[in-house]
Amino acid sequence: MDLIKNITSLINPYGTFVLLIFGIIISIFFGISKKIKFKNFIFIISVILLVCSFFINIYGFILNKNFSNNLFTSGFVEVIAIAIILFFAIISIFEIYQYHKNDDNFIKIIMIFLFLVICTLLVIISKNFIAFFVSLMCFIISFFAVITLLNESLSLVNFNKIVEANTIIKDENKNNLLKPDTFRSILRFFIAILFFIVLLFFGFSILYGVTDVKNFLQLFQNIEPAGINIILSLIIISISFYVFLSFFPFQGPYISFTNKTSFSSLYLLWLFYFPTGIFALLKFLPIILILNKNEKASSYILYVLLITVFLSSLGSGLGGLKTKSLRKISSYIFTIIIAGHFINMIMLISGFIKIEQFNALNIFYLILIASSFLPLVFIFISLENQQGKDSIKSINSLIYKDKFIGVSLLIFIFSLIGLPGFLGYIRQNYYLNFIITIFNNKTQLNILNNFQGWIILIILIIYTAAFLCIYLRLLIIIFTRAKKDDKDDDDINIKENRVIHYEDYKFNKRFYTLVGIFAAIVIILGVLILLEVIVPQFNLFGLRLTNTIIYK
Amino acid sequence: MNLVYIFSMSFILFLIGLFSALFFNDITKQIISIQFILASSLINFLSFSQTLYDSSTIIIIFVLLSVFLIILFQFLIIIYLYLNFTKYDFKIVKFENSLFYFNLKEWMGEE
Repeated sequence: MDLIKNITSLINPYGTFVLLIFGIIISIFFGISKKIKFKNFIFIISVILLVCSFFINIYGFILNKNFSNNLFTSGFVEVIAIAIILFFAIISIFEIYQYHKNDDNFIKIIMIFLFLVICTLLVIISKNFIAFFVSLMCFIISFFAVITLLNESLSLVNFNKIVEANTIIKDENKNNLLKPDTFRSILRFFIAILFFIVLLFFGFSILYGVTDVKNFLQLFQNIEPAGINIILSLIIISISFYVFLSFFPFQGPYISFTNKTSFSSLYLLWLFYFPTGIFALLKFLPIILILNKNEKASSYILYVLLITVFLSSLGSGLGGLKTKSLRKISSYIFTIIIAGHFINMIMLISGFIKIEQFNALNIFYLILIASSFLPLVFIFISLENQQGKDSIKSINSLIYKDKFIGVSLLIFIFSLIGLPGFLGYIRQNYYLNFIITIFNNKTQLNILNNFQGWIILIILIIYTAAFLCIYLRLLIIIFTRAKKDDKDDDDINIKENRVIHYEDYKFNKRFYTLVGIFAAIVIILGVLILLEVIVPQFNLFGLRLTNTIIYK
Repeated sequence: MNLVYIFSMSFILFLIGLFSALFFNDITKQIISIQFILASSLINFLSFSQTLYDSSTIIIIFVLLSVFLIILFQFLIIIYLYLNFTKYDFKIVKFENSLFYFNLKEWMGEE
């Protein structure tokens, strides 16, 4: 009985990891097999294990509550974050199966993918510098391994094999056919990540010299005596994360990567790479909170955060307006969503929200990505997959051609804009309250002067405008009727040697169901949130969705 | 040796690595530049550990593990580079531009 008690006390957080490691061990036995039976078996086992880990994670927390040791710490926020990452993992594994089930390396991909999930979860719960850095490095290495395996068919090795065999490829069609540039894009993207990791290591070295801290919780105690010396390490760590999150003007490798790689790589990039970056960045929050006590340092941090939001929203907004590629538009939209985390930080350091609400808002952004951004990408990728070309023409007059998908797309776009009645409204409600508080009830905030208030207002307007411009462009294109006789609109798909007619849509029933479920979730949660905002006494079976989020 | 001199030297190494990583468009030169930053971080860690904190064991473990993983990642990148390096494209070790080139067309999303 003692043994069972000891085991149950370790369920949170280790139960999740044990299940995922079990999946890796099983897949090792079938690693080199190319039989479809084994591939299906490994896929089903992995999905079951991911679902089980999702529930074990929550059950373990209910059973054992918080957990902490020298290396890791896990509380309510971490458990929710892990649950969302596991949900992302389930979505991604289905996408990998859909696009790569015929690859020779499918089982290897699944094996490394499970390892990637474990590393992501370790980054989330890490407390000690050693655990953090090692898990982050393992995450990056496994991410590199998965991405290179997923794009193997697009790599130059296979491209040259085909050229050597004197197949039908002609030189002028190289770029359209197999995208040999994929290799360069991947290489460039990962050298940028290497650059990030070395900068972060340098930042750590200075942090160590100034404070002698070994874990993130110690930062609260040791930084205060270090005083202003901490600034240099903070600047270098900030620059490294700025590079990692690919904000303007460092977005080149990221945009090139999203433009050239396979579909499943995009899911991994948006559902694992960026959330991990955000969780890693939030580990350094104690430094910001300590420095926030000093008025001068506080205003510098505020300006740095505002410049970050300004550059990322302006750069991404203009880029999203100019480009004709749906992939690039999605990439820019995602960058703007990620920039929202920095607005949360601005609200935190100005005293508008407390740390609990800040954590809840960060979690809400992940839920927004899962519920609104992800189905948007589903639709874009499905259109590109059917037509063999990544073009904004694919969604031209979509609302008339396929009403269900068109309306669902509108719902996701409205949710991302933050219209009342949709899930994303919480965010806009926050910004609105923040602005009102700055100008009407300034005494509550730590904002130093009117000038900073005005700057925050302008930056928030630019941020929202950047969002709106991209979405309005998409809306106009969705509602524009295509001219039937316009032959200039037709493109040639060289791979299948056919002319693309942007009117051919064939979505299957499973796709309709999937999109419909996401749209229903966005609307139902959106209406509940709106009711809660309008009627303060409203609750659903005693539960209020906005209780932890709406500022009071 | 004075800690200030050591730190100044490591910071110069860091700046050389930083600017050369951003300036060169050759992949091998970029990786070598990144080594400079890594070396400067190591100098920092070891000097601080020796002079300020009596060579703490935890930090030695941290440095060893981190450097091992960073070098492993670099090797993976180099292996990936040379797996795809064939006779059809001799300029493959060079990007068209530096790692982050601040070009109007690029951030507008054009090729």
